[in-house]
Amino acid sequence: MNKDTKISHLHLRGLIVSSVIGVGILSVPNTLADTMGSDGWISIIIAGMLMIPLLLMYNQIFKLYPGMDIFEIGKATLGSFFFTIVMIIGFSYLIVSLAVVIRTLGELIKIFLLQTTPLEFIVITFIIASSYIATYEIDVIARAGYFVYPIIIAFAFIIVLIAIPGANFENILPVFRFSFKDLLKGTGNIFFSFAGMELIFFAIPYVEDKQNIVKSGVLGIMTITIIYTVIFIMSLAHFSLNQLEHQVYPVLMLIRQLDLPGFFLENLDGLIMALWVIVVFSTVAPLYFGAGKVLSKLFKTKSHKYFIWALIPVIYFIAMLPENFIQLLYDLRHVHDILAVISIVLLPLLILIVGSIRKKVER
Amino acid sequence: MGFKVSSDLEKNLEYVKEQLKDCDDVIYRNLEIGDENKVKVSFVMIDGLASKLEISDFAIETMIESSEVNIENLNNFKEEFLKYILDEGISNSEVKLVDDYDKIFNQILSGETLLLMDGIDTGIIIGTRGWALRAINEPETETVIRGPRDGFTETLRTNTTLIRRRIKDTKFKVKMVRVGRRSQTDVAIMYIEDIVDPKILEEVKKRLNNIDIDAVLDSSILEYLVEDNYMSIFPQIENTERPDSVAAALYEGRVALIVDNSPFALIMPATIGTLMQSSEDYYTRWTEASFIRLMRILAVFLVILPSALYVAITAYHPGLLPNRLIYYLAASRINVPFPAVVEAMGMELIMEIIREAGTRISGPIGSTIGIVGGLIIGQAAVEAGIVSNLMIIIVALTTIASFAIPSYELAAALRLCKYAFIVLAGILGLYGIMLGVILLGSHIVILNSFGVPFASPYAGLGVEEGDLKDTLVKAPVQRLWMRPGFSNPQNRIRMKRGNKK
Amino acid sequence: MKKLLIILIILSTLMMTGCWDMIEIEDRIFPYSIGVDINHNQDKEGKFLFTISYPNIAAIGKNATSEDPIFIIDDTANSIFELMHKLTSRLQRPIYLKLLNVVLLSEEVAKDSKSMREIVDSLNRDFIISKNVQMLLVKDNAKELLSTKLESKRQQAIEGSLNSMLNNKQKSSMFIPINFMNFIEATDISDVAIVPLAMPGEEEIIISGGAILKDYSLIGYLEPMEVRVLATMNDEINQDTIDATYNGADLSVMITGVKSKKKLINEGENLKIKFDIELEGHIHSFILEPNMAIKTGEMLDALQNAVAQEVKVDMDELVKKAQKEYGVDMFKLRNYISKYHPKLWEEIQDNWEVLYPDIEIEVDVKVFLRRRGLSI
Repeated sequence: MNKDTKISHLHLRGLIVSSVIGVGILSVPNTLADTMGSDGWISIIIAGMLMIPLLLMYNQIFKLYPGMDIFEIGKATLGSFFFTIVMIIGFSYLIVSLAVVIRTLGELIKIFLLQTTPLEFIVITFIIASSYIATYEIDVIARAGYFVYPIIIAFAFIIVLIAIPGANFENILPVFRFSFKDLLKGTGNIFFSFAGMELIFFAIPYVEDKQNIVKSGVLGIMTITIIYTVIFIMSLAHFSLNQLEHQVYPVLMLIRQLDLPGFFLENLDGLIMALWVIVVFSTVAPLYFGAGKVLSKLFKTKSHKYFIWALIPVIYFIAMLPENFIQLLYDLRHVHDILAVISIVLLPLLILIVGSIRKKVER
Repeated sequence: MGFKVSSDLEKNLEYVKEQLKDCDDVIYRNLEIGDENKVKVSFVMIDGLASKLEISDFAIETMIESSEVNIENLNNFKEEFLKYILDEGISNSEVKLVDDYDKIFNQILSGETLLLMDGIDTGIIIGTRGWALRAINEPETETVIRGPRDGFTETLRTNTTLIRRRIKDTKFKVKMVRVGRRSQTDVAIMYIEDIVDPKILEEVKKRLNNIDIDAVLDSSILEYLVEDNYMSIFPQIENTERPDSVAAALYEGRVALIVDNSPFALIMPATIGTLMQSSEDYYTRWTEASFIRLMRILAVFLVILPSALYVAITAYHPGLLPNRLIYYLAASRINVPFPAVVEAMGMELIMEIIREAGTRISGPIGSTIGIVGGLIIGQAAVEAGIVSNLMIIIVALTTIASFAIPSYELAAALRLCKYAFIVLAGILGLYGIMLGVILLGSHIVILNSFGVPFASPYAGLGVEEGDLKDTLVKAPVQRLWMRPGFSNPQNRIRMKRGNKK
Repeated sequence: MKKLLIILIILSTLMMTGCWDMIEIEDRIFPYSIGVDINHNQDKEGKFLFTISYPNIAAIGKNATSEDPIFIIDDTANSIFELMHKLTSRLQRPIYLKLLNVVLLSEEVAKDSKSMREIVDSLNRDFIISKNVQMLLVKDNAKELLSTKLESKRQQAIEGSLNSMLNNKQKSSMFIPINFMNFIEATDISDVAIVPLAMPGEEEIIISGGAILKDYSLIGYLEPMEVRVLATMNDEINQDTIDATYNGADLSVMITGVKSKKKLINEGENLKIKFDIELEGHIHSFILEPNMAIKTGEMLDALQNAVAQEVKVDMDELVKKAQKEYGVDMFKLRNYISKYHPKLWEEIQDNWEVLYPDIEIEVDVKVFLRRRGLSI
């Protein structure tokens, strides 16, 4: 572990918020409207609360083995062989995640901003632009995350302000009309919009102020939950439930709706798209860094710089794999979701359990 | 390391004359002192560098007058004679005994006078520096409405004096080093010992040591040799002509370098927060200062973005503007023959040339040319119908905004970014601009200045300590009871907290 | 140095790629309105006859070089996008639909549910067209309406006269503008949407009244009066002018605040819903006669009642028309029940169509006249 890199716990919080809030935010209302109807916000809050024990679990892993980063801990607990398999799974998850995020971004840019530009071009330029920062260490990436963090909050704030004039809060009614099965399904769906938190694996060991990790992390999770909830409620207030089920990107449609000629606020969708590109970048940067780092540990090289560059065509290839939106949304997403559950929950749990047992045995 | 002074005056003089051959501005003054057995002594100095007045009044005159030296005692000749010379012969305030010719030449070339004595194998260096210097007047590049008006000159000693007057603390250290093989430029490293972060100080000293160059003609050359990333467009070291800025920086726990022959002092570490600060912020009321600081941040965006946005909106996304504007924009461009990219790029480049022309010509003509040239050319271009009038407004806006940024180098860096953004906007519209923002943002966040992240306090160190209240805005003096945290000072308290009355 | 070279090479290849989307702003056409008629011309292909009006950019701005503020062009096609395609053979510049303001549908088109659904879908699915476009229904022919010459040229050049009329701040409530998003929403919620009605006049366009579209198909009309009453019951307007008579004299009242609340009474066999309407305003004009001075509380009460009575009569009539004549849930009752009484809704939702005409709707109007102006 590189002793020189240091992260403040504020940066950690910024990293959490900016990694999680990426492409998911645009389709949160959509996915929930199907299952939970107007009570979707309940699912969001529950999913957010479920993140907290996950955070505690991550923190516990590092508490058991202070002074070691995730790769060293993994090797110490699971042994080289098994951990290599774990790393390969983790790597696939990161790459697929990257591909899904970047492809979704590309599709949106193509729809709203650059209709005739080939998607390939949009995707490859984004990958190259993100690769610059990915070649550096986690403290730089945490800084970038912290930079974007207030932008995300401003983004959510603007959306709320815009939505209030036309909001019809009646649409939130009726409340509490769902079954337990719906709740499970809804919460499960929403869980994947919280993916991204596992990126703090790379960051926790370098945080100086150990006491504040949990506090900052929980604050970050709460921020994410609040933002998602607010956006869901605003989308619901603007569109009826019916519409919400049919609109593909309700949040963006919300922005487009705004028309206050008196205040000169029209056609704000451009501004939101621009801000949103930065938000997605803050999700992509740590993912990309992670992918490069895992590769560099697998092949035991000193610097992950070369892997970052080598990954450019790989990410491009996988991002361009789905031929149409059906394949993207339903097939690739499916693969991503499975890998996500494994990488975010199961594998860390495994490491924690094995690690605790070992520690107990050592005593 | 080299030749040592010999006891034979003739040999010494021969050596000196040989080394300083063809330097006709060297003065050799030979004297014989003593009553009966005269001892030959020689003064060597450089005309213009050494103050002839000082030598003649305090050394030569004193020596000529007091010739009552008894040279009998040959055993202790050297000791006795030296004692006599130092006690009664020379009445200058600064004297040193040197016997190494490398050091001696360095001193002579710095304006000191060498006193060689026959039979003594040591030379005496008399402090006689005094050359024609520029008076202390207001720094031209950084004027304030309220605040001190003295600025650095090209003489190192004057400059360190200006700072000494502001820091009367024994912990304020001035350490001299020499940089440049031939120029042997004096560089003063200044810091306050119990505030500065020792690691940063070490780093500064280390980097200065590692310099191996012929000459350092200005502090800027030193700046580019010593900074973390010379390839970056952003400066990582601050420079200023104002002693009060330097003193303030030292109080914050930073390190300052004064380079001889340069009126610009260097301050490190520098971050984007400090580059956007001006000393005037501290001398005006906090409400105005806060407002101005926020305006400066707006100015940063106004330098980079408007031209690129114009290109992006006009050529790619007209739908982004409010409806009424779109028609007017279209109407104003109806007869313009160039595509928006060319128009923007062209006008910006012309504006650069005008601006550069304005700086070359000093005095009143220079500034007038800038304004008049810009206006006339712009107006004529609009009349001829080759640019739209909106473009002229934008170009004027970006240029003027760049003057609102305190650090000239930072403003220059941002102006360069502007062109890159125009190109990106021309290729990919708004998406291109965002890619540019990503790359620029990444670069700022990656950059370090002597171990301190360049993006402090916005995204680096110092956020926890609340540095934002002195960078984003300017909190009232009563709230700034702690030093900013980004430079990691040892001693954080400057003022008693809650100092109300 | 080598790194710099590589970067430069990449950059130059980027620049040579051609800026695909680059179209200068003055090279685009921004249509304001699009009119949809059924195509009766057998010789031309295409189900619909579309008419587009777009401003002449050269006529705006200081150095106006051209006279005609608006151009009108029409063609037949099967959908809006085929139209764009067809028009490229006649227009010099590409069309950009972002600034589209108004969509005019002719009666014929509105009566045909399938055509309506196709048009609505194309508007919904497209990403460029703003979802705030206003919907208008035209009696007879949309093309004719759009070709009507109008007086004020400058105004129409910038905003399109239809759009300005629809956005007229001095809301008269003779018609209620509805944008595309609300149009779809209204149909989703209660199966019915009211779209303002436009017809050509002598040298002008008149917008008043509304057309009732049930399930995207035109089934009837509403008089301007009825539109106002409906909007009041639905709590959609805030300002209005009401005329009533009292003692033979005409009383004009300006309403500045409208509150409308629905309440469900009687869940049993017969559903009964009560509307509590409160109108607040002031007296605008009455009659200058000594014994008609408004000085006492009783006088004021009487006036208030007169107005309330007038309004109630109109509302009851509208209710009858909506329930019996058209069978259309204009008052958003379905929305109300499903949101505030979800259990009840689950029971009756399958029978809604049958139950609706028999729901007892009681209207109770209260009028508060706060001020009387400067004279008594």
